[in-house]
Amino acid sequence: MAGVLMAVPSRIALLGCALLCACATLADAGRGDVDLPNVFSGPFRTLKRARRCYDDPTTGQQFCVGDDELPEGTQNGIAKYPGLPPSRSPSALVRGPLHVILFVGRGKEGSATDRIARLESKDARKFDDVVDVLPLDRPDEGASIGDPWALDVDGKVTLYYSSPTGGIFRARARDGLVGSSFDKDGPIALEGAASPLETEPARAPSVMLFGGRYRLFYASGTHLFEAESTDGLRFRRLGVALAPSASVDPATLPEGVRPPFDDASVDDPCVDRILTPAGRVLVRLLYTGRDKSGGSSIGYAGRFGDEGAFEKRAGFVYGGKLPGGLTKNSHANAPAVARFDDFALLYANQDTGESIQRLGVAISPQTISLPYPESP
Amino acid sequence: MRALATLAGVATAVSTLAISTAALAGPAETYGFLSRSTAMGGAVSADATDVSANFYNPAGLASAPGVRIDIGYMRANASLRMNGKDNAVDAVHGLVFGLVAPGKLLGMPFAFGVALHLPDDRVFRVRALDQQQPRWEIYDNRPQRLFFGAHLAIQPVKWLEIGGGLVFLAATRARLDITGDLSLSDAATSRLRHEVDADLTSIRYPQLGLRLKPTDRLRLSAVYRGEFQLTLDIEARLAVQAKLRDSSCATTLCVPFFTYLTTSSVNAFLPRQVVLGGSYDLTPDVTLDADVTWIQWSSYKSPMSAVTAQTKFDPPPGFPASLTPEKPAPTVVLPPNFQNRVVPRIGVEARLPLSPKGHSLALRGGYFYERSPVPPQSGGTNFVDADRHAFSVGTGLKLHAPFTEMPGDIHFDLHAQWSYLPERVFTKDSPADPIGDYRASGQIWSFGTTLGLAF
Amino acid sequence: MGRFGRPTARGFVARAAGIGLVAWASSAHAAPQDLFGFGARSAAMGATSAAAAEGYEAVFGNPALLADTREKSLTLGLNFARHFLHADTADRARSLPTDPMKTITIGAALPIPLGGVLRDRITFGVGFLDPVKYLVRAKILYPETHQFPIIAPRVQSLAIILGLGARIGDRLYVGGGFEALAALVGTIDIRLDATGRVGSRTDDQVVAAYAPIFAAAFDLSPKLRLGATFRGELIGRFAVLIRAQDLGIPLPDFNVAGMAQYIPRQLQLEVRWLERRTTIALGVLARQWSRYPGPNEPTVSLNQEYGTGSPPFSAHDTLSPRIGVEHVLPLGGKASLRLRGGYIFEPSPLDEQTGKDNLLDATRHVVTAGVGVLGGQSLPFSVDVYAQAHLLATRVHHKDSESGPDVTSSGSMFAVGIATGVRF
Repeated sequence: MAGVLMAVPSRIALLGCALLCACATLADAGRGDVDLPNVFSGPFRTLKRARRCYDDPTTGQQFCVGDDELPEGTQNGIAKYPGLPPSRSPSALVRGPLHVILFVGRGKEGSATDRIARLESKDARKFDDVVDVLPLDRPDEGASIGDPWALDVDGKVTLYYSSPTGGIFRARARDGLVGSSFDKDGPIALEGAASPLETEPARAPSVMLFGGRYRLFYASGTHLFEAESTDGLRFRRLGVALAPSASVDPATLPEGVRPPFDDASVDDPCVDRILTPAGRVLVRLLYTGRDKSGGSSIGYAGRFGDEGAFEKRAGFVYGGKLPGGLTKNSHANAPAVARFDDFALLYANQDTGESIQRLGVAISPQTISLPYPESP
Repeated sequence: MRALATLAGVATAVSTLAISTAALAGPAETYGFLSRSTAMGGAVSADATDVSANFYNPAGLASAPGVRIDIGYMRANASLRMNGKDNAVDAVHGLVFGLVAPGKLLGMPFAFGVALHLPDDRVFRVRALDQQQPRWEIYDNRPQRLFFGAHLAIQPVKWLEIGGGLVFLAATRARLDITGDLSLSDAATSRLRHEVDADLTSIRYPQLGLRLKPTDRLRLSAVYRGEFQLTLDIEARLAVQAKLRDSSCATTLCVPFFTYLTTSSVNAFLPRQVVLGGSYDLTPDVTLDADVTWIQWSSYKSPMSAVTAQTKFDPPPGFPASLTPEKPAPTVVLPPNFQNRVVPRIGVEARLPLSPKGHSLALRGGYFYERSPVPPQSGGTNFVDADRHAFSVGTGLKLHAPFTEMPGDIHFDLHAQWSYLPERVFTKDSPADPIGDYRASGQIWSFGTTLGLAF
Repeated sequence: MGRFGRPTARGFVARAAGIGLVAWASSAHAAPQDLFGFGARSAAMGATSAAAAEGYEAVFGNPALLADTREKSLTLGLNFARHFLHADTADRARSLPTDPMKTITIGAALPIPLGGVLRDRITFGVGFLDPVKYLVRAKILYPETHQFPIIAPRVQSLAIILGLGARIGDRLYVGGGFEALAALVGTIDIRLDATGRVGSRTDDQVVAAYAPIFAAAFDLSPKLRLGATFRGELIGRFAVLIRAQDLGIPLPDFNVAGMAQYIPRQLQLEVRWLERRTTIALGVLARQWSRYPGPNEPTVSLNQEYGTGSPPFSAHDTLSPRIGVEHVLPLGGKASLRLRGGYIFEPSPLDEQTGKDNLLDATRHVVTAGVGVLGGQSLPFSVDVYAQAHLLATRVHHKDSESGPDVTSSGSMFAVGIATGVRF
């Protein structure tokens, strides 16, 4: 102790040094929010282009703020892929970290899609590798095919797609999990009594495979339906899976509470099945909800177990206006999800209500930022 | 004149007692205060007569044998996980410092104490997250704050000590006013200005402690700690001219836009507590301590921000409908519904003489069990917590009058504390819940050292 | 390291070294005592303290002089102050609203009973100055609003002062350490939650800014003492970034920020003459106001050219001379009566406001007086009272042609206080 006390002069010097440098304490914003649990089913936040650069008038140097989450040449929320024709109604397969294959319908802008294309990206946002993989060439496919749904079955990409007149079809890849060329199996069979609500040929298939059984979700009329199969071709109807919400007079709602976004129809199912950390089966269903004014947004519903009714989440998980409000309503529809360890990317048609058709991309949880590699 | 002196002395002491300040708990409540008391599981409300009595029981200050100054450092690293992934809960670390100055005031034993835990990087933090975002409610933000206390204690009779003060904390209130021109085509070029009227307002709550010494070997204690919280209320008023382009209002669309945002949140809530404790000398060199703390967690306030947003925007014909602002619904803050808990603590200290001069070595151990006050999170909130078993050990070296300049004792204390939070499974009632089911578990390591000078 | 930088090991070293030393002091916001002085005795003696401070008051005035105190003491004080500030134009007399100051002072001195060569040489002191209503207040007005930024906002802040002084030899006293000031920084992110309702993510922190204090005193003779105290610049910034991107209209990020409290770097030099029962202290306080960036910051970070007032803010350094006198009258041998007085000349650091801004200030004349009763060994108590009158010189701000009518600023401040103490 004497040494300590006798060392006063040297410590005063130390104090002097330290205090002369004394500065404000500014802690990092709190953490504690890393790797939080989430079912990665929304709400989704549109990926953005937020990087801005300015010339500093005092130094003459350029300074930049913000991060781009999308590549150069895109707008907020729009995935990048080469030119026309536009891609529609995506389905996503994940092949690695940010490695995504999308299967989309393509056709002339403003008209129905007439082929299925394959888009591949190593960063999940810029799709340079685009190839048509499935043409319209069967008489029973009618004048249009689209709404693809891809899944891996026995080491092959298996593609379900639909035609407005012919219902749902299946094709299987000749090149295994690459999925760049396909053999068509023809239409699937939907057996059992159809619901009176099933007023149109089945469309927009979404298929999951578990325990050796296929579970198909599809749209018809204004509802979503469910069917089951052991071979992926002959399905037995299970009934209605999801119905539109009841309409509510907006005047009866409290200020700020939106009326249902899906009181006209539900469409475009996108389904998958997981075991929750508590060991329960959770079936996750994203879908297109349309309101009576013609708007569309993406909704979410879930179900514990493989049977029973789905429960909807209040409000849409993606839709409404695009960020900043600088563009029209997104009219989001036809969702597909690429799920990664810590987040999920949503791909969806992101129309503006006019003739422009684009493929939007958004992320959940909203708090996660996904800087694009080009942004330093 | 003597009567006047007595009156002045008592008035000063009592008045100072009435305004003595202590920003309680936070890091001290969660991880203990000073190495000796932490090593003994915090079960020292009847045993602390050193600087740590400022936190555990200010009545004990009156038994301080002499002036004592303590300085140290502590750090607690949490490895708290959800679904097996570490959530990077911030470590708690900071300087600890305190002193106790006993004396006699008009013949009555009297003591004054000061204690401080100063975090390295902030005085305190107010943090409010989205209501549904999972957060380690007890460990994430609550310990991220200053602990500062100043107390008085008296010993009116030999077997009774009384101590206390008022707990003091700051509520933050701010009014922000923003005016100017808002450019809708390039928001960053907007010409806006602002005014600020903000303050940290004093809030005071009572804290009292009693210490009884029925025999030479037995001490009993009772402590009452008041409830308090950090509040943050902010009003932001935005009254601007929204312009579609950066041109004058005379030639382009220009609309008055008014938004009034309020956000109100509560943080670092410390529930009301009552502590009953005992300390018994098994032998002259071995002391056994035990505390039981009743904690009124049921009054816990949600840290969620209650937000309201009002907008007024009346666009003229021709103004793009897509630029019309939303009118979102206000937040509905769900009650946390925490449950009251009783926390048992136990501690033991054995003092081993090292030399006839009075040097000694103390070995200490302690344990406490905190049953989680957080109910199942099956709905829209995600306050994550688990039961906590905390084991602590420590040692203390006392050197008596080691050299001429130091006629008293030098104390060098160390402690380590390991908290184990066994896995807890949270399930949701709704399959549409955005968070879903999850598992939570973890452990926390805490270390500290204290250098004390007793005169 | 910038003043708004991140925490570093260096910052920790500053504090650790400060606490580990024989001589250190810490003050969390010195604004009220910078205006009025700290403690009833100093406030009555023209805020002289660098050479004349006694007891716990030395923790602020000159922590080195704590070493002169050899008894444990505890003091409680109450302080009140009121502003009367005016900004008149030809067509309108305008009294500016200000909040009265009510503060509580608690002070303690604790001699450290070391032995050997350190016997009776080191004393610890602690002081609190706690506003009754506010701990800290940040009031940042539009620059064209008539305001007195130098004096009005500076009376609402908490001060926590710890100090340790050491006597080296028989004549030299040293002390030092650092001051701390609270600042509020944070972000508020307004957005819709998963249910579509508006919510916010708030992360606000009260942080501390630190600046050094060095102090020393030297007894040239038993009667004559020189004292010097240096205090560093302290910046209390309010900075909250507000984002509201989910309201459906493109809004920039709002940088609601400004200089809520600012204490300039300062050096106080003082000489104290003790002649039997009379003490005279004469000193000067130099403040480096020229580094003060002004209270306002841009609201839109990317538009730096707007929102900070016009013309650009400027302030200049000041020298403030002061004098304090104390005369002791014995009261029957058991106590003494102390009569005190003083004067401070405070020049203004702000120029005449010729543009649109109205950041007003003027030269201040401060007259102080007080009385105290100090008991002897058998009566271990003390009572001190003080009063201060701050008179602002009338100043005409001649506006240019685009900035409206000329403004005449004037005003006064009055402060009173009482402190009672016991020794034990």
